[in-house]
Amino acid sequence: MPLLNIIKMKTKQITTLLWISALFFFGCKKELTTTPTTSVPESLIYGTAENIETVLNGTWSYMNDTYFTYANPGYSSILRTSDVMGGDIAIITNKYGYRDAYEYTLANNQTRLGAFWTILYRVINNTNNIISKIDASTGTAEKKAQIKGQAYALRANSYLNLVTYYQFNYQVNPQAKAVPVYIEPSSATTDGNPKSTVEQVYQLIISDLTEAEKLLLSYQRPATTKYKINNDVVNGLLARAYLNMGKWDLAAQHALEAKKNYPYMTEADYSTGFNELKNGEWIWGHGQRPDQSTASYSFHYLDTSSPSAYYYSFMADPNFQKLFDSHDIRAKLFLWDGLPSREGYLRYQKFKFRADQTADIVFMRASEMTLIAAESYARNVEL
Amino acid sequence: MKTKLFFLSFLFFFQLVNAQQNYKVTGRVVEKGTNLPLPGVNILIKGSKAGTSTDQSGNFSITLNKEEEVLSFSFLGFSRQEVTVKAGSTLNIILGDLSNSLDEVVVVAYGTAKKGDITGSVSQINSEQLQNRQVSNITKALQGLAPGIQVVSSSGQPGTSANVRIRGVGSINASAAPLYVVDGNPFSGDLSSLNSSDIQSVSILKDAASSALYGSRGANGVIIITTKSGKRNDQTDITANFSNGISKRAVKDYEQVTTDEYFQSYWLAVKNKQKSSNPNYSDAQAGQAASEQILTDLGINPYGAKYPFPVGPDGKLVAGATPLWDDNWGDAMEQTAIRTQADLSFNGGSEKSQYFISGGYLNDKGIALGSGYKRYSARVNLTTKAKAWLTAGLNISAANTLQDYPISEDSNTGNVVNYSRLIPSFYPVYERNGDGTYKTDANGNRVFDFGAYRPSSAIPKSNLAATVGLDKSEILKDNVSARTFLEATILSELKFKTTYSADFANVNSHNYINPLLGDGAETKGSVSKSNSRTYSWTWNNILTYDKNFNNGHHFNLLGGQEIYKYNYRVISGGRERFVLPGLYEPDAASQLNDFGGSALDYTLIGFFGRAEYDYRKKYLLSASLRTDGSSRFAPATRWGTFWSLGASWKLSEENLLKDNSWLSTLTLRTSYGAQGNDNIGTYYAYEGLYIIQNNLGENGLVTSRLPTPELKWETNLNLNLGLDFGILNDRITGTVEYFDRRSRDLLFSRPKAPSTGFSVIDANVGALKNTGVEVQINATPVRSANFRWNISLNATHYKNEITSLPQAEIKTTTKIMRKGGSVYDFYLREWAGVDPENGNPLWYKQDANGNKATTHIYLDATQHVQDSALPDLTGGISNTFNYKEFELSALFGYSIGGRILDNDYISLMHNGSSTGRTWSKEILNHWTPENKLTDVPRLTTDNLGWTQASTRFLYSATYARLKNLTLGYSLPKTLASKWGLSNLKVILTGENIFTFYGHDGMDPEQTIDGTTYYRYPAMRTLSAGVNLTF
Repeated sequence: MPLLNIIKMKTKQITTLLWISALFFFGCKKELTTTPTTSVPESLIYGTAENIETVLNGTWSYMNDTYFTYANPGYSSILRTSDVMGGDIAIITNKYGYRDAYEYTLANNQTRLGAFWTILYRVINNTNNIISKIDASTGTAEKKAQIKGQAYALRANSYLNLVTYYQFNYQVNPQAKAVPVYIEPSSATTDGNPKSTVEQVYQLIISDLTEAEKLLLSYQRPATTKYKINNDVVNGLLARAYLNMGKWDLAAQHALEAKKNYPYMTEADYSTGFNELKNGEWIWGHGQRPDQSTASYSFHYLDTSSPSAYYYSFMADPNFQKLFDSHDIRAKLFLWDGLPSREGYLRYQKFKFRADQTADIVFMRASEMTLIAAESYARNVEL
Repeated sequence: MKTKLFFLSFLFFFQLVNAQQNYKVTGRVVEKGTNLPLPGVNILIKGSKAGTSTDQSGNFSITLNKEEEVLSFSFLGFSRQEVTVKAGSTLNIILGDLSNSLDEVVVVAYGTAKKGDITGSVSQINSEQLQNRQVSNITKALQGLAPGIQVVSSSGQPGTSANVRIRGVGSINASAAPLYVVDGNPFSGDLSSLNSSDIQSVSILKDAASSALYGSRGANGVIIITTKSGKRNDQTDITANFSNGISKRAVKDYEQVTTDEYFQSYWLAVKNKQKSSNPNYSDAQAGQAASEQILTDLGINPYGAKYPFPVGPDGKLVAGATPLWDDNWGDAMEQTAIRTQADLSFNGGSEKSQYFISGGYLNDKGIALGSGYKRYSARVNLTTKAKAWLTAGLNISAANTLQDYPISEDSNTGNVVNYSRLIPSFYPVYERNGDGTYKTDANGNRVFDFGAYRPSSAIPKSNLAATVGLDKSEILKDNVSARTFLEATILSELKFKTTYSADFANVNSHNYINPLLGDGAETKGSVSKSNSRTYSWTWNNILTYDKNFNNGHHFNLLGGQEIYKYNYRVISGGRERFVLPGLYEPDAASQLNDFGGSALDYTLIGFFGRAEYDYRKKYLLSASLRTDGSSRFAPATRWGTFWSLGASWKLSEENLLKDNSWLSTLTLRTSYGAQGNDNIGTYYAYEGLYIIQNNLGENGLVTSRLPTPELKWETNLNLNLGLDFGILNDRITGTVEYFDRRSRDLLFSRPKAPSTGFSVIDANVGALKNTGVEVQINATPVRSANFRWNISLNATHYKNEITSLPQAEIKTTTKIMRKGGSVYDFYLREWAGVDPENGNPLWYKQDANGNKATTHIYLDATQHVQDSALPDLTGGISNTFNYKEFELSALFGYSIGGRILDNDYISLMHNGSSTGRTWSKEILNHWTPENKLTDVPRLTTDNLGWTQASTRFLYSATYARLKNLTLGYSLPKTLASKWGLSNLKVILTGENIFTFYGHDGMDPEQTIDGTTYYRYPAMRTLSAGVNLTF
């Protein structure tokens, strides 16, 4: 074959090859658009109320079941920190977990501070998105009212936590600077807001809860989903807010309203571990199951009687025990530790893991509402 | 007639003999440049085992088997030469130096080039430098071998990679790791799956001109690993390597106090606390109380019942009291670590086809209990010239690896490396009776002591020495990598090459907690398994046009296109509550805890071109351009364009220098260009995303990232100035290079006020600069007939500087980023020592006027910018000595400057507050009224907070390590060939033999950012081995 022909032939082959490759490449250009499998673009979410409800669910799940560290398993770590900073618990201080809160050296624990701030404000931003976008979505008015009402109440809960943690009580100085307030969804250009006053934060809390109360009037919560917000929860939050503000009448009124559907625990309930949403006097709580059990990790600190509890560091203050007379059912829950080198450790066997190493978390219960009402009457000199 | 016939036949015979005599070839071998004779040069008749060597005067004589044969001349350190010779000729062979040669062929982007003919900055490490290294991952062998590359092995766990940075740290939030390329195409497999015996060379591309053709991902440099290929027209070499060795810790752990010291010191801590709690106590009362309390605090009396209060009220041990046991938890947590490696390879080929086939076995046990790494690997590399115009090739490798990887870099109490720093030696490993004898079970076996009596700081209800063997943390990987190509020669100048390569990895991990002992005993054990599959492929098509014009001009043009796709998919699940012990799979456990799975996709498409020109190889120019589209970014911003320009001038070829007697080589090189980086961590970096977070059976979504439609490629602008020189006929050669790398449009996690609901937003903000100098010098100080000494040293200094930030300062707990600083500047409170008056810790605080004063209150102290974690100078020195058949080589790696914050140490440095926790020896230097000038505070069971992060625990990171020392003996050639071998070498080798550093107990190889995290220390491995070729 003459050389020229070979060259021609090969050139032809090569040209064909080049064409194929070029076609391939242009075909591939659309391959440059890929889609994630563990997240969803914002543009797909806010069209329908049904989709928006998933944001409410996800926000709740994020708030409760996100590990920052093992000592900060979501929102329950805020509750445990409050416990520890109160007077009833004596922490075993050489155990991992809540020593800094107990010793009031929390400022050293940047991780914990960052976790609380992040949990509460991320909930706020998600609820802001829901509140500002739900009206434009498609869906029944009833569904939209329910979602919006629950979002308002959840936002109020975040702000109520923030304003309680980061400034003195409302009655000390309502004009004191507390925390920044956001009521619109954050965007790339949103800068940090300056601190608002305690009064401004409470105004928002009350208006959010009042709005929620209206929107949730017709919402009937299934009894098994106590992690959803209904008007009993809203009333309970209003009771807490008014109590902080010193508005005793309103506090008592809402507390009684909140508890009316929830009978107190029976004596037998006290020894079952305080770990079930179905507990009759729980108004609001968070459910746990083996595949969603981050919040349950709190029980490794709280549970002082199950052998599987890893830290069992939440011992009762012996002075706390003195508050109970011997007939009190709760007196039976105390147990001196008695192990060598652990003198003075008093176990309080109220909290127990379930067999599957999970435990529901209580957020609000009838007894608390009774105490709010009682305190309000007392402060109002009505007792 | 008869006579005539006889005469003729005699003549014929004579001629035959004569002819055979005439097959003789003689000659002389001399050194290039000096023309000095080279004695001991090996001469082999190619394709046979017959050979000889030169005598003292460099002369040789050899008899060929036939009229014409190929002779191969080889001499250690010189480039091999093959000459076709005719019988009867006399040869004058000139051998040139190998290691000092700019004729060395190096691997560059999409091809190879002579080292002297490139405009960019490339360092190459060859197989001889990697052979016999006792490492399971090739990256760990690179330290100290080349300038400009910083290699830090932060974990000694077998099978882990080292962290590599080329010419500084070029990115802040995006990955600063180099791009790895194996046999021509980007590699997405597991680097540990590569058998280092299969590797021919490792080429490090450091500047724009050399790496811009990988532009899209070359911003932080490129490492090209090339595996061995077959030899043309040669007999098949069969090579077998075997080595066996034992590993220990490279550095000793922190020294701990003895039991006696512990008890007396803890007594003092308790006594001091007693005195402060009970101000009315006399010294004797407090001492008495302490004598009693220490036993209840510690929960054990290792001195036995004979001494109910082993420490008297005076703080001294009671006369006669000696500990009945001293159980070293460090020993209990270590294992005999045997390392075995065996490789077999076949290497050969004909004119048309060449092949390299290998198989390897590695079993590298770790020093920490339960850790180890096993690898079975195989490789086939084939090239065939199918037609005169068509070459095809296939490299395929497969590896199966099994890594036993217990927790070994975490604060978790299950960390096998850190465990012995938690429990002192007076707590027994096995249960003991009061008299010190072992308790035994019904079968007479010792029983592990889980220490329920131990105080919290000494991890009660735990015995890792017992449970590690029962638990599992296995990572089983199957790796297959293939590289195929077709190359067509269209015209002699025009070539077309299409390459398809694929990397496949299947990773199956199995974590199991046993239901018998330890954490799992109460919950009947648990198991989690995950399986991931990664498949990535690259397809490229390249046209090359290479033309020499007869007036000395030479052009090389290259154009191509490339597509890269990456797909990752994973499923994982976990269960707990096993029906019985001895069952490890999820099916055997009753409670389903979780199940999940996800996938990732990533695509890159690129078009590129390069033009090279040279005039008589004296003036060289190069230019390249590449544009890439990345699926990580928005359609409008996903294309990034990168380029480079390079030039080189061989001054020594100029007439002025040509005849210079001492300067043999002098080349100036420069390059400038831009390379890209899209490795932001996430694969979907433009839309606002909500992450899926379901709630108790209902669908859930929650915000995870803000939309960033304008986010684009990070760019690295890289200037290189280089000088190559050779002195005394290249007996001393070297390279000096200056670099200035400027990263801009950094893919930065710009901090936002966390109260907005987002802590960061991805943005192209900030700029970073790495400027530095690197030097490499190779020399052969001694070269005689029997003795040869080669030395090679390299050093790199660079300065990392942030030149722009979106805000004045970005602080983390112990570091700060600010304009003018480096990416890893420590930001700590300054330690002011111990108050001589009361023994309390002191730090410095600064008032508004900048006046320094000491404070007892940690939070009042001012945080200051401290030194950077980055070293001032890194590099290596290697020496090779050859004496007759012996070879001794030593490689030192060093790193000078930089700081490490040693958080590992602080758990042994409590002031008595962590009852029962180990104590370092240094604690004995604590403050007392008699020992006022110290930097260890007084002992008390109150927490003085002195171990909080401060400059007290900031240590120099300077170290030098004898990375490798190898002694080899090769069987003399004459003897070897008698046994039918072409080479037999016996070696003794060691890794990480000595470490010179300042802070005992800490392995100086931590992370690049200078923080410790209870990591697996480096291993010292001593092995004996044999290399056999026949």
